[in-house]
Amino acid sequence: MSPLLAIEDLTVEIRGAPVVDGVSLSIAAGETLALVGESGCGKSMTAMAILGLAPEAAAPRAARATLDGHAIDPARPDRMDGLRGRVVSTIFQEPVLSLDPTMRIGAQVMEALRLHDPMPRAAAAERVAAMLADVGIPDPRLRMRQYPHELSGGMCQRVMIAMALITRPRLLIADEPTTALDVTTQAQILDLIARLRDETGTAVLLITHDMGVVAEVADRVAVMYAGRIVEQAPAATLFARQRHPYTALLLRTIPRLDGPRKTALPAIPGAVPAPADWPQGCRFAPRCPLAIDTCRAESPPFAEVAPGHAAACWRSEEVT
Amino acid sequence: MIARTLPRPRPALWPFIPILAGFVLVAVFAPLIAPHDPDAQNLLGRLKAPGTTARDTFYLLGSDELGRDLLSRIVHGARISLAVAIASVVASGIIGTALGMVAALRGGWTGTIIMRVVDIVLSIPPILLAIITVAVLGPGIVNVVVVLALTRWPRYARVAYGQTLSVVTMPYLRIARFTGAGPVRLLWRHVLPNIIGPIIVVATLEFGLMVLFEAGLSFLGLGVQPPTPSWGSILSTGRNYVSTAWWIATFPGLCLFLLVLSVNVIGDTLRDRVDRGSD
Repeated sequence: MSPLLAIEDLTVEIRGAPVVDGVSLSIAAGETLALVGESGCGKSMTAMAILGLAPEAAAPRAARATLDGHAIDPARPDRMDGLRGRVVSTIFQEPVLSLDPTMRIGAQVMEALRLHDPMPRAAAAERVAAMLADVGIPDPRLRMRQYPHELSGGMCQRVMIAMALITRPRLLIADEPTTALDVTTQAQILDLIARLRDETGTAVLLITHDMGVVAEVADRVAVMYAGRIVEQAPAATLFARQRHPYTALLLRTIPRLDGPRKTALPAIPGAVPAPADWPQGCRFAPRCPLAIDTCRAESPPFAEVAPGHAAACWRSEEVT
Repeated sequence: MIARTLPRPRPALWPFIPILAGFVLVAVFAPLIAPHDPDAQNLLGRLKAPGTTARDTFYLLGSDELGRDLLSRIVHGARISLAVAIASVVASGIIGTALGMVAALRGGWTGTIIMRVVDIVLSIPPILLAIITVAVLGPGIVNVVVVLALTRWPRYARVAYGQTLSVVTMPYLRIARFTGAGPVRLLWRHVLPNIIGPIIVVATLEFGLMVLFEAGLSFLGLGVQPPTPSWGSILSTGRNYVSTAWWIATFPGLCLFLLVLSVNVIGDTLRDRVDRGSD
């Protein structure tokens, strides 16, 4: 079966510097792919480009892109017109700012539904109430009459999820859906996304910087660094054995409850360089403990290192 | 910094709300309130002082050069003043807000052209522009509204433009756009409700100006035409008799002053409230 979403060689440039540089991704129906990386690695821009929301000035382009059998083009947002809502929906980071402060909750969710599926108000209200109940909002009929400022951040994010899923899309793109929420709410929202995915068969592209979130919901993980995907594998495989030093270091930065106490939290030295300053060769080399001269001179190919497990590293065998 | 933290002294609001309400009531019920026909002449009772009776007619505020009751003319003039001000504020507000929102949403050439036209219209002295337009269209109450609408929309356009720019970057607008809301729906359902506060403040402050503009144009003979009573035209004829019949120019002037003052104080208070609300 062909994948639901397939993007090949996606590139986005900002002022001549490629912030997304030859990214290829594919997601099967019902699958959750986590796109992981630090701030500024290009993961959000990747999502925006897929959705056709990348700024025109950024010259987004892809060698080939299909979504649910339709050819799409990051440079042609109009190609998405018939697909938005029905095929792909999205949730953004700031749940509170993502809701129009002057519109009642019910009207907003209803708008998302009726723009794609014209139906009488009463029928739509029925569907909205059912959907809100489904995302765990108690007393949906009351909430529908309220304004966003009357709801907590977690409630707003549930409303956003309801808005995104009420049209029963095939793919949900969730850009840091839990970053603005506290930890307990985070877990609830992640559970909710996972449950709805299992019930409706919606595929999820989850964008996050949080390995904890990845471990909880992802089937497959793609790790991004400086505009490129550096490692990709099924979640279980990746957590068991990393083939790129960046992934290994990223996993080591998660504090553990059972680890030694009173030690400094591990961190990866340095920061993601700005796109204009990306080095020749492997872009992670300046921060990499395993870097050798080859790494600094030549870019490693993104190659399969084990069945279903690919990495872009000259020394992937030595990564522990 | 200190200046910003100190509360700005502002006249108390409470006396001005009843004053404005009073003018509105007088304008609405003018025929019931006016003691006489505002156009009925009484050539034997010309230029009577306030409080005098001539030929069985009591002139509370005196009579004008044709023996018409000044109070009745001022009461009916309130109608003209408020009607012209409301009509021109609504017309210029709709034009300006729509153009400002479109300029901000479309951007590019459309936005540049609209906002440059705004700059051009704002750079022309408004009274001069009004005089030229009236000279072309001819005087009259409808034309006064047309003139004011055509000359006053840029202020709304600027405010709407700036506010829309800040609203457009909000995630909820990105989402509305992504869900497939067309431009009209986007502006009407999502942008307008979010920028209406500052627009209403501008409209309130403009309202006072509109009253003055109408009076000014009528004073110059370019606005409301006699015998229809307008504060501006009453003032204008009263000017000829100011040394012998001070009341003709004084009372409409006083009404103008009170109406504009109360509208402006209310507008200022509203602006401060809206500013604080957006922090």
